[in-house]
Amino acid sequence: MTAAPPSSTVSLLGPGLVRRPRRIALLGNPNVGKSCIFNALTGLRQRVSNYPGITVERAEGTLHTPAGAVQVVDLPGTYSLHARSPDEHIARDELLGQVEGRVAPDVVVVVADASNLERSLYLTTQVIGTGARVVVALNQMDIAHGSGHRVDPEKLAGLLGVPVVATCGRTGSGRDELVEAILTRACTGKPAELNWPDAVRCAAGRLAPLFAGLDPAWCSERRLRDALVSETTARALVEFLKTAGPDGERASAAFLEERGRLEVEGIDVAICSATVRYEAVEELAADCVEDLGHSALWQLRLDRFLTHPLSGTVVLLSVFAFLFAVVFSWSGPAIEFVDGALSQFGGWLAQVTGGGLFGAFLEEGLVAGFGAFLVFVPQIAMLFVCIEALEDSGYLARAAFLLDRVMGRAGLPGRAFLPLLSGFACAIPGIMAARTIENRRDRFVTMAVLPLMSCQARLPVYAVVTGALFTQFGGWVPAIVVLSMYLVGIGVAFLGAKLLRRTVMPGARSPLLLELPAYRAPSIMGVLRNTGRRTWTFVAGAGPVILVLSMVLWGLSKFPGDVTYSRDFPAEIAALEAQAEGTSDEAAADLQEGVATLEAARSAERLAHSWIGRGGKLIEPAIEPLGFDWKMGVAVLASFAAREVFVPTLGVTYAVGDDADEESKGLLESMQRDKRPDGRPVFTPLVGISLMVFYVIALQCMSTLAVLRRETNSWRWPLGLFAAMSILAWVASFVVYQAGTALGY
Amino acid sequence: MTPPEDRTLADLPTGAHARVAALRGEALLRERLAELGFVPGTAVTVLRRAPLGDPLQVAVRGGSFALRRDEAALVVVGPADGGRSTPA
Repeated sequence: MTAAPPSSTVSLLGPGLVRRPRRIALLGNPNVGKSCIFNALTGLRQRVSNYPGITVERAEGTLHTPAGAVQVVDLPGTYSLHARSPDEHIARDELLGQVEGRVAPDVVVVVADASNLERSLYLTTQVIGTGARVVVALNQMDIAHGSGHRVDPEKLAGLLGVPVVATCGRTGSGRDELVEAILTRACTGKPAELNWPDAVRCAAGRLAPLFAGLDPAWCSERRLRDALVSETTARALVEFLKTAGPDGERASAAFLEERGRLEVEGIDVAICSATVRYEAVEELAADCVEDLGHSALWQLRLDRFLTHPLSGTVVLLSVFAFLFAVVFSWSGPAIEFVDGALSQFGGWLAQVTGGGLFGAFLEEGLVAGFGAFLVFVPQIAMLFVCIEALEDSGYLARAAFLLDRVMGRAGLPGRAFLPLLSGFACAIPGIMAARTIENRRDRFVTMAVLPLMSCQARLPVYAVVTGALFTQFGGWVPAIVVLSMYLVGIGVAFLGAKLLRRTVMPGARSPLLLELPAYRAPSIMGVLRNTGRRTWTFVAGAGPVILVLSMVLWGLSKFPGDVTYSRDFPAEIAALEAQAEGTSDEAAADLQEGVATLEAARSAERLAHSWIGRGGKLIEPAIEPLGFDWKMGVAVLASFAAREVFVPTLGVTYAVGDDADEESKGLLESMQRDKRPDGRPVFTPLVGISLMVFYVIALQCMSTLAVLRRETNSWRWPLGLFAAMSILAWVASFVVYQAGTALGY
Repeated sequence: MTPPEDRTLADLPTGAHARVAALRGEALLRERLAELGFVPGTAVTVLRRAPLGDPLQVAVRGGSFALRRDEAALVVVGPADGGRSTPA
């Protein structure tokens, strides 16, 4: 046997294909398991990017076949080629080759849902109508079977005139047949026979001559019939005619007149096209679906249980409590691991580079600063796993159904609940989870108020302040204080959402037309792949900005370095160390502590002298009315990079060392002891509350800003929010402190 | 008595079967509803209502959708056994 001759690639080509497809597109309704098919076809060879200018994800991959590599693009889920949302526009434009710089795919794989066949065939027949070469992947046969329907792929193939392959995205069965069909059998199908009302046919016939000189894409009678009685197409046509000169004007006037006439005849010109197509689709489905005479009882029972006012609510609360536990407790070891690994790496880097200024830059600026961001990655990934699994199982849509009314009080859709809940862990996965909210305005309002949920990074701030100032009251007081801060955040978010609805994003919530898909076991591979995809999007999207900002912040806290210290620290330290030589162990330990104190005092002086320290003093007049002094000012300024640095920065300014944490006795005592020049304590309970309220509201997190920029595709939103929340935080703290002072606290 | 053409999906009791007679409201929203399957002549069932009475879960063409009362009130319905109404 010799190796296969080079011509074998050619022999793979069937009669339907002019040439081997190089680029194929996957299209389908939402919830049909399209991404499972995409994963099965492309494996791990995937690339996700955003379409320029909009936040619609573009997923591409490569399918390797014996005949060569085929590029696969996964289009956003859509119910129709009549595009109304940005997602739908992208799906349609990609399909028709109207995206700039890209050609139409050689083959369109329409993923159809056997358990929801009519809705799938609606889209399928539209695609076939465009004249594209099509293969239908008939997915979710198992669910259809369970609910008592058997779809005959061969009959369907005969009716549509294109290959139909039964697939199961989750198990990957049918993949090879699908690939074979894509490579060798894809073909243009039989357009559905649409039974247009006579009035529509006649109107299109009358219009056709007027369009003859215009863009051929619009002159066919088929296209005109659709435009007459589909609102979306009609609007697109009128828009196009505006650009087509006097001929276009004439055509436009005639077109609108015909539409008006149809309306007078009692035809609903917005929906007649859909009505006619569904009639055709019903006939197709009737011919290839067999009724098995039973229904999916478990699906119905599960639905009744999970959406029941009582049991549904209990399940909902349990699911979210579980999610919370995952994020807050179970991710602990992973976070510690990354944290440990990073500090080891930083220490090693500093050693390798000789410990000079450059080494300090690498260790403190680069690894520690950027690490504060990387530490959250495991937690975020775990949250994504949960969200993906909930979404894939069909439960998330039920949760949105249950919560829609409650969220509506704040002008938010039911879908906003999960992103907001994630916000208690970290705003970033929450903002990314907001992608499941289809409507842009609803999504933006959700993202805008999300940072008000008290994330984990605020907990140390609350802990230090209550630890220093409220434990003296004993009992439940500290816990109640911390809880109130969570409630303040929720309250401000609620009011903020209402306010945004009245101002920047006016109008009611967008209509809710949410499909509640059949329940199914989530595909583990699919969940993991999507999690990896999203986590990477997060790291690559927010990482660079954070990297730059953490280096800048490090520079601000280190320079200028030519500090004239109040004491001769090196000499004093050397003296203590010399003393320690040859004394008893106990005395040596005492002396070592003295050295540490000196070193901390030196860092404190250097920080006070640095740009950021000067900044703290500079803004002191602005924050005095809030009850803050310059040391808090330094911590607040540094926190604008990330709230995590609040406690360590306070530790440095209070000269207890930068490894301070919320349990450091030294820091708590120093805070309690600190006096203003007039002898009053710096930290009173009122100052503590004012400070915490500031932290609840201010958007002090550059990772969040970077992700907001990514998700909104503009700097306008993140910067506007940043300004608004900083001002609001100042005002709220001002009111708290001044009112408290007036009341004599 | 309420004239039959004013009965909408939002008025139906939970569990009721009916057929879509017409769609009301803004043209783009009408088309969106129609493309999800709510075209005149389609059989619909109100499966349940969420705890506070809103939104509704409606079975249509082998799938089920959640609609708020505001959207359900755009779907004018007739009796389930009313047969197909053909567009004029």
